[in-house]
Amino acid sequence: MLEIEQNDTFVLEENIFLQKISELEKYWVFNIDTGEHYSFNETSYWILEQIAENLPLKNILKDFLGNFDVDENQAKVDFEEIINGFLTEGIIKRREKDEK
Amino acid sequence: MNSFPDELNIENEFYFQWHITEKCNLRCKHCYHAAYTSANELSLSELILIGDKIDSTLKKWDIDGTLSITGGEPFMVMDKLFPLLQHINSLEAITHFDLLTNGSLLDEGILLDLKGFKKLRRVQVSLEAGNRELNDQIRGNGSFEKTLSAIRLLKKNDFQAAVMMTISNINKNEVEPLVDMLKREGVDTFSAERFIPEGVGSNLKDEFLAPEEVKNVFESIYSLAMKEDGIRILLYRPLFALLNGSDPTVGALCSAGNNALTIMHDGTIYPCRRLPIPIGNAVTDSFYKVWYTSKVLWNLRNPVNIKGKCSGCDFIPICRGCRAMAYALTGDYLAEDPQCWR
Repeated sequence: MLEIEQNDTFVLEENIFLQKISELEKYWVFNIDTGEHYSFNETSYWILEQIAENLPLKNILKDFLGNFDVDENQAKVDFEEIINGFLTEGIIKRREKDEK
Repeated sequence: MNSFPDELNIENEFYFQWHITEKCNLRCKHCYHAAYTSANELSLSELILIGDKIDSTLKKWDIDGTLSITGGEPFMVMDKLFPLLQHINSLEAITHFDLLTNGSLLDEGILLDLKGFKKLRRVQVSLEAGNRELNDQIRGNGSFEKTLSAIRLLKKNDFQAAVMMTISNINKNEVEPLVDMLKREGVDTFSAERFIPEGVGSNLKDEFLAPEEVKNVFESIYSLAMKEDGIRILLYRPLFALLNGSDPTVGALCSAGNNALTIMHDGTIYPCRRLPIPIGNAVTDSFYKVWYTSKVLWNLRNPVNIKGKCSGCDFIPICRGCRAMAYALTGDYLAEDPQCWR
């Protein structure tokens, strides 16, 4: 597991494309260069949408706790696990401090 | 994570219709091409590159691929056609390919060369009627005899021959006579498409069939298919499902956005040849980019987007009408199928 700080900000990797069909409860992530594709649940996809908005992790977590009826401590653990999964799969990357 | 997402209800096969040229030696009145100049036609090396892209994409999706190579008239560009077929024949992800031709340029020598391509499944030609006059009224003088000669040559050389018919007001009563003739000729498969007034065919707008007329023709085709009498009649087209929704071999979802793409002579990609909305270019774009990011394709995939009477129809899981027909008649590819009789 990578160390994740609450002040970290993540961005989608280049060539990552998000797509959902809410009516069908289908959520996908595509890499248009390598062809990799992933199906996610609504929660994971929601986190990616927030990351795509360039929000810091602490803001996303705060919104997450506000939007979903979850235990805070468990949510933090799950949240970190999901973020690590995204990093491992090359879906997101940590935004460097000097990146806009 | 490498196989294609099951959630998209993709079949286990992906289909490319590939128009390698726009050049043609016929001028059929119902043709969906608007021109025959083949401007910016791709070079052989570009065609080979596209073939490689198709292969790698299908491998990534872990899905079998089939191709129809066509034009224009593909045998008008034989210098490209044969090397391309050679290449396609070697691609691992391609299980088979068909050739769609008007048949007029086929001869014994060409068929001998085609014999070498083990993945060539069928050669498809087109006829519009069981009689010369009506066929030639649509496809041009002499085309009936030439097509019949091509069919006989194909059968003599043990090729699978397929015949397609495009149904309009002109030939709506010709299904049975044509199928009878094709049975006598030993043709293997028959399929029918509805005439869509686009390209050159826009001039035949008055020959467009009313929904009840389509129903009558489709019932006649269905009834012939059920006889299973010497020729296989393909029914996997939108609206056929309305005749027997419980049989999965009857009818099919429109393939646009689901399991097919069309590549034009200049590399332009359409969702379907009959739905001529450019969504990318096969030379400059990856198929991943087109398939994953095209707004048109995503609109097509979501049944909630389909409008009009299609939207509340019981058949929506197995039939969304022909999106190309909706586009040609209304300008909106999400509109209801104007020829649906329900």
